[in-house]
Amino acid sequence: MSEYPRLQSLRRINRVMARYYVQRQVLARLRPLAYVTSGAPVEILEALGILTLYPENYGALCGARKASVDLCRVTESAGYPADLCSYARSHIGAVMHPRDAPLRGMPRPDLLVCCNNICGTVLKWYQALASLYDVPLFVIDVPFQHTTPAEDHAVAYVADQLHEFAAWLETHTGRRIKPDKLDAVLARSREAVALWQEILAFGQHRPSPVNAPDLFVAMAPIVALRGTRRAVDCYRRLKAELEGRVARGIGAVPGERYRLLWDNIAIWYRLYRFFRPFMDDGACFVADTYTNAWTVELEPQRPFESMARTYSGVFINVDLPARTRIIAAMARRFEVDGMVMHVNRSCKPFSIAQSDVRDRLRDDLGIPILLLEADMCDERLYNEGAVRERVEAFLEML
Amino acid sequence: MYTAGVDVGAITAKAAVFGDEGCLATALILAGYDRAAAARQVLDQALARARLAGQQIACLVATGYGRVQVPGADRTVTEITCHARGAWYLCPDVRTVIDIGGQDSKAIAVGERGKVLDFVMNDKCAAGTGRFLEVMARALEVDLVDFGHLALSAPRRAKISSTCTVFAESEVITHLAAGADRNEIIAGIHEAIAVRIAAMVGRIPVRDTLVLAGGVAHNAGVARILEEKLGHTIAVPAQAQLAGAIGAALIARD
Amino acid sequence: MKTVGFLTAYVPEEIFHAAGLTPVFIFHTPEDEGRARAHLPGFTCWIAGSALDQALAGKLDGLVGMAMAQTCDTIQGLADIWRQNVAHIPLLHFGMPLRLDSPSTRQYLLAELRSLRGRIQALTGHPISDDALWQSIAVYNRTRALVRRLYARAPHLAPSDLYALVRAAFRTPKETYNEHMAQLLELPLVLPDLGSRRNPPRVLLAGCELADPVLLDAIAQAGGRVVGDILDLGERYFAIDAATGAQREPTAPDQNPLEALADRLLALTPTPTKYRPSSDRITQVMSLVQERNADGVIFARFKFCEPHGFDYARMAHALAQAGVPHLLVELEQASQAGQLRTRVEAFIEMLA
Repeated sequence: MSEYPRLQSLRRINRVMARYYVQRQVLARLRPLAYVTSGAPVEILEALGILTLYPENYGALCGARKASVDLCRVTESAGYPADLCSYARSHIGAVMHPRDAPLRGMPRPDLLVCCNNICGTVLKWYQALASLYDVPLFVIDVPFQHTTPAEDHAVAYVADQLHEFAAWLETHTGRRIKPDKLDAVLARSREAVALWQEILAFGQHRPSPVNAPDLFVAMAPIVALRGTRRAVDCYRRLKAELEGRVARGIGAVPGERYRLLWDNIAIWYRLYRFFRPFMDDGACFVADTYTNAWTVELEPQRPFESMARTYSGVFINVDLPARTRIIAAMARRFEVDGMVMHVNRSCKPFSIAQSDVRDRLRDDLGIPILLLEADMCDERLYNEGAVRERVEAFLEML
Repeated sequence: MYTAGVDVGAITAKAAVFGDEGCLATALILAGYDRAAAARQVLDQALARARLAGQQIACLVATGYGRVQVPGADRTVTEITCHARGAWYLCPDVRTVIDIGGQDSKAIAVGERGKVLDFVMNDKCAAGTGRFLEVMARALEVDLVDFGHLALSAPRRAKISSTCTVFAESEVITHLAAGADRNEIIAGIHEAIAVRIAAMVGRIPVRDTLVLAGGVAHNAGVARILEEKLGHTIAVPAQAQLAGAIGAALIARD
Repeated sequence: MKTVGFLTAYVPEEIFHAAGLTPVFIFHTPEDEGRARAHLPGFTCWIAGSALDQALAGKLDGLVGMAMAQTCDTIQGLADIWRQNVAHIPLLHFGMPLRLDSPSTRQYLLAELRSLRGRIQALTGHPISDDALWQSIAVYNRTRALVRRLYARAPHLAPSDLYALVRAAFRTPKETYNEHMAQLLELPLVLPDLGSRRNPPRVLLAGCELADPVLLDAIAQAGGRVVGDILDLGERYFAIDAATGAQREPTAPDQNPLEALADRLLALTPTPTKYRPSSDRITQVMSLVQERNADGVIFARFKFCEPHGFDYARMAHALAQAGVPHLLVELEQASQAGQLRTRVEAFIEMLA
């Protein structure tokens, strides 16, 4: 990878995330700790000073460190079918065998918070965790948006639950939520999200100073540290570095010839290696739907209602036509020449309608779109030979 | 009293004839396409060796994939129940039976007198069965009979990570193309199947004595590496492949 | 007769019935016309795949609509895909909540029921009065009572007969079903030949939808009996009536039939996609084992089913701790009958 310019800020982000895990080990002895799903309204927890950890982020870490396969085997030996989500299998394996897991696992949670706006699997995963840890679980039910915009009674249902959730947290931690604290956290989230959106927008430059794998590394704070000053800090630096690259005309892929869009979660155990043949051919992934999932707006007034609407409207919680429109708009805005859609075995919401999305986009945009079957964490499902052939054929099409 | 057991598998058919003193004779042939004919033929062979006539058999129990096609069977019993019983006869200390056949594999937790306490099967996927070895032996142009010994002769094992036979075959070809040592690849193949089987076995309680049955039992490479993965020694009775038929004949006496 | 197809265990059938429609469950079939896989990826269950395949192959053209309740990610995706590709059979989605006992659940559920009623009225041009709803509820309560009586006889019935009769409840107009079932249940029991076995192994079934005929035949072949189930469309589906209590008059003006439907849906034993901490499915299966004096539990799970997959692991663990034998069989589009049979027979042999 030495001939491709490396973003310094990413090293910083990696250090921040490493420290994040270590800090939680320490702070968990002093403050309540909650495991949270990536689409949960974390601002409420943040406002109460409750520490958060993200099993999904940990799952991605296991994938990136190539620890997933062994952990999945542990989970499968305990009776979990091998065709379940590989984030869940990796994490549950780490819970069962922490000594063999990255970072020796995560500290025990005091609370579990599960929000199904990203998928239904999280309910089952968190029920398993509730059983393994014997700690209280709160489930936030966010109805799938079969129509756009969301229906009022569905948003009201979510808002009601958020009030219920806040009360539940107060009961379980003995802490009280202060409205101005929540406002401050929401303001920081908005700032971080705004910065993140700006960072993603850099991909519109020619050449793009950023490539999808860079964003996969950079996204950790927006998921796991949203609402904190550290996230804002990280992204201010990254934004500055990208501005610097644009000013000097430096692209993430020197000699950028093709601009591509990536759909679905990253292939964590091939984080940069997967993109090598593309980079060698001058192809840069200037946009993607995964990192774009964290660009929802949070309005300043009526925090609970605004959170309800925001968290209901995340990318994989909206209907197929809405998702297709979002991707098409992204493709146009970033002026892409082609798309690669990762058919991720582990994530049904993200992957289930890709064939239909592809058909419509191909007609609409007239660009080549590759469907690539793999898995985000379980390397046993990755067929190197088949992937290579498809990628080569696709590059020839461009 | 004389009884008989016939085990008609996907690839071979086996028969055992029992008297009050114990096992009188056994036989093993290729099953071919006509399971009924194979059943008749293998039983006749066993009877001939026992110097008995068909009418002298008080009860015939049929087992295996083709058990419903065995003519003259008084009862059909699954190969799980029969293998457990048969393995117990061959090795009375048995508590865990691992049967690796041509098309499926199973692990059986065995109790008193060969009674089945628990079992787990793999019959959906070729990896973890004799078929996996067959496919790989063909890819490497090696005789199956030599496969196990070649595996044990290599100092290192090539890494084969795919769980799927088709994927694994393409990995093997990639290794060959890269100039890897053939015996190390063979060792890697045996490691892969052993890991698969060990994972399956791990789903039932594993207790000594472990007994290996089925066609693949005689592959020393699989047996040795499986011992390594499970951390237990594994007994391989000389009549491992006949455990099903033996068990069936014993059940016929119940 | 106007029919509406449906999938999932949470569609409020009575509302469709009150609009003059006959709801029929779209069970999966082993045939694969190859149409579904162009839309649904291979890592989705065949329950969804078959329904889509049948629709795209023109086998469901008689339906005026297709109803699905919010349950799992696959059904959610199927609804999305259906709307895009099966326009001639309008999709009627029903947002059954995931949480069954939150303080705001009932209000949301009632709003969804009102919405559904409105959409059915718009689709059929047929008004759905409260009176008509009460009458449909009465008909369905009758069906449920009859199926409960049927289940009471389960240990004395051939497993495949039991489930053929339960399955018929999902495919037959209720009035016809009620009439025939009432007559059938008046007949003397026919005890199947138990052979030499005096204590046939008693099994419970768990899984999605209803039991596979091959599985049921294998249980019978090996001399076993089904004594109950926690199948999504099994006992639990018929266990609770709407607006129970003789005191409640169907035409009483202050009663709201949608509330009766809502209360029933919330009271049912949850399927794996629904959450009610006070009645965990794990404890459910354990108490059913005790209550029915079951010797073992057979789980039939479709490959790629996450909700049942996760539940299975925890149930299996609880059963193992309690020393209750259990078996898992995995089903697909073309489940090998021989393999299924062997596993089930071996399991029953083990219990004997």
